[in-house]
Amino acid sequence: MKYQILNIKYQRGIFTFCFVIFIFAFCTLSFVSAQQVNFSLDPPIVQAKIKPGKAIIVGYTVENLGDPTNLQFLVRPFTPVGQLGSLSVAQEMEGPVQFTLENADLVLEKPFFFPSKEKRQAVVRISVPPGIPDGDYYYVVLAETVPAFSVAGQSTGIASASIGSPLLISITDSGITEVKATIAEFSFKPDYVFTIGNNTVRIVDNMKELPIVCSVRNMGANLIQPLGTITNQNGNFKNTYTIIPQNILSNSQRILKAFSDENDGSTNATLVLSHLSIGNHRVSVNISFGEGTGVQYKTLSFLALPLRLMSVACAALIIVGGFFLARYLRRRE
Amino acid sequence: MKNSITFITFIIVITVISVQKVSAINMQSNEYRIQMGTVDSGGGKMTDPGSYQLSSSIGQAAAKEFQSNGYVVKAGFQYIYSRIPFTFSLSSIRVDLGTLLPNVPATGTITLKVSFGGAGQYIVTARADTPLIEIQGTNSIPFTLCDGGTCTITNAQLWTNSSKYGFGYGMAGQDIPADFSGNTLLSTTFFRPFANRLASEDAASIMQSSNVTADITPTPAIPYTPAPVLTGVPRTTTHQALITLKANISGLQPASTYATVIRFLATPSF
Repeated sequence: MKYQILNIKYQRGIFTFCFVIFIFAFCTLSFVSAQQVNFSLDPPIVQAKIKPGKAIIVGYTVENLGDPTNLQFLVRPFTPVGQLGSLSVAQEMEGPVQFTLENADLVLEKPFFFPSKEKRQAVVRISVPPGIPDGDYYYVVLAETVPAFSVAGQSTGIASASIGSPLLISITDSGITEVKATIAEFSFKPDYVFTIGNNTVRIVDNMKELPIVCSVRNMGANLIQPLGTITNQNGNFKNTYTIIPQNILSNSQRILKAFSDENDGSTNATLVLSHLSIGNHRVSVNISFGEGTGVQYKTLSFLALPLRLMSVACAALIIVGGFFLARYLRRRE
Repeated sequence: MKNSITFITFIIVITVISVQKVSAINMQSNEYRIQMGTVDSGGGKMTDPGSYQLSSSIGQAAAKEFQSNGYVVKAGFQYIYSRIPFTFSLSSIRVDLGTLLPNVPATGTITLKVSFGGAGQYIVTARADTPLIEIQGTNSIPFTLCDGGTCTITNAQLWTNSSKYGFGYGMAGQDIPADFSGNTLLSTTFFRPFANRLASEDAASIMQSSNVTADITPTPAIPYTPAPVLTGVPRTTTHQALITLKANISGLQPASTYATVIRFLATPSF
C-alpha cells in the first residue's frame, strides 16, 4: 500500500516535471522563417552644426531582427524631392564632408557577417576639413544587406534591403545660420466662390472636411524649423493647432503639418478642419523660424454653410411648391 | 494542496520565462565615447500612457555649446521625443519565379513592413540593378511596358494580357502610390517597370507616409519658443504592403536562368 502511494507520488512528480519542461520549451520557441530580412537603425535622424576643421563622432546602432545576413554601412548624399519630405539618395558618394568608421573591425562599404538577434554599433567619424564654405550638406547613413546569389536553376529576383538615417550637417564658422524663408502657400479649396464688388466670398459645406495647405519656401543656405500655430476662429470660438517643427532643407519647399486630433494623415494637407460651425471662419497662420527671426502671418476667410441641408430643403420646397401649384392650377381649371 | 503547489509552480515558471529581457543601448564603450545630442537625454517613451514634455537643445544653450566645442549634435526627432528605432523588414530576400513558360505569367511576392514610430514620416524606394538577365549569357527579359505600352517607373498601368512580355512589379497594401490603387492584396493587375540602376534611373517610391505618427495634442496658448509643450500617445506605427514581381516571356525567349537584384531602401523623412 505504502509502495503504491509512493509510486503514485513519483509518477505525479515526473508528470509535473515533464509538463513544466514542455511548457518551458514551447514558450521559448521563436518563430523562424527562412531568408527574412528585418532590421532597425537608431537614431532615425541626426542633425549637426559643425565648424570647419572640426570632427564629431556619432554612434548608429543597427539590430538584426531577422535571419543572419551580410551587411555593410555606407554614406551617400541626398537631395529633397517634392514638398512632402521625400528624398532622393545618390548612387555614389560625393561632397566635401569625410566619413570613416572608428570601429576596429568595421569599414565603410565592406560587408560583415551579422548574426540574427544581434546589435552592432557603427561609430561614424564625421570630419569637416578646414576651408569648407558655410552651408548645409545632407547625407544618409545606410545599412545595406549584400545580395546573395543562389538561383538554383530558377529565374529569380534577389532582394537587397537598405535602411537609412538622414544626417543633416550645417557647416558654419560663426555658429550663425541663415534664415531666409517665406510662406509660399496658405490655401484651401472652397466649394463656391462669389465676387461681390471688391470682396470675394468663399463658401464651404460645413458637413465636409476642409483641408488647409500651408507650405514654406526656404531660400536660405541652411535648414530651418518652423514654429507657430494655425488658428481657426468662428465668432467667439477659437481652435489653435501647433505646427510641427519639421526640417525644411535649404533651397526647398515643404508642406507643413499641424498637430490635430482631426488629422488622420491620409491627406497631404497641413490641417484638416471638420465639424465646422455655421458662419464666418477666419483661419490664420503665425510662423517664426527661431529666436529673433520675426513672425510671418497670413489669413484666410470663408463662410461655412449647411449646403447639403440647404439643397435638401430647396428640393423639398420645390416638390411641395410644385404640388401646391399643381393643385391650384387644377382648381382654376 | 499538492495540486495548488503544482499550479503555483506552473504559474511562476510561465511568468519567469515569458518576461522579456529589456536592455538600454549603451552608447559608451571602453574604446569609444559616442557624442549624441542633448535631445536624447530625456528618455521619454512614446508608449507611456501619461503625458511627457519636450526638451530642446537649441537656443542659448546650444549657442554656448557651439562656441566652446565647435559643434552641436541633435539625434532623433524633437517633436516626437522618442527613441523608437526605425525598422524595415522584407518577408523574403528572394522571389523564385520558377521555370518560365511562354505566355504563362509567373509571379512571386514579398511583404514589406515599416515600423516608424520614432520617425514620423518615411519613404521606401525600389530599383533593379538590371532587367532580368541570364546568369551565364547576355540575353535579358526587358522591363514591361504593360498592356497599352504606356506604363513607366512612376506610372502603373494594367498588365493582364498574356501576350505582353516583360518584367515588372505591382503594389498593394498601405501607403502605396496612387497609381496602384486598382490593386488589392488578392489581385494585382496594375504594374510598373522597375527603375533601372544600370540606366542611372532614380529609384521609385513604392511606400510613403507623410503622416506624423505621434498623435500629440498641444497644450493651449503655445508661445513662440523652440520647445512647445506636447502631450499625447503614439499612433499605429507599423504599416505593410505587398510587392508582386511578375515576368512573362514569349516563345522566342532563349531558355536559360534569369536573375536580377532588386534594391529596397527605407528611410525616415527629414
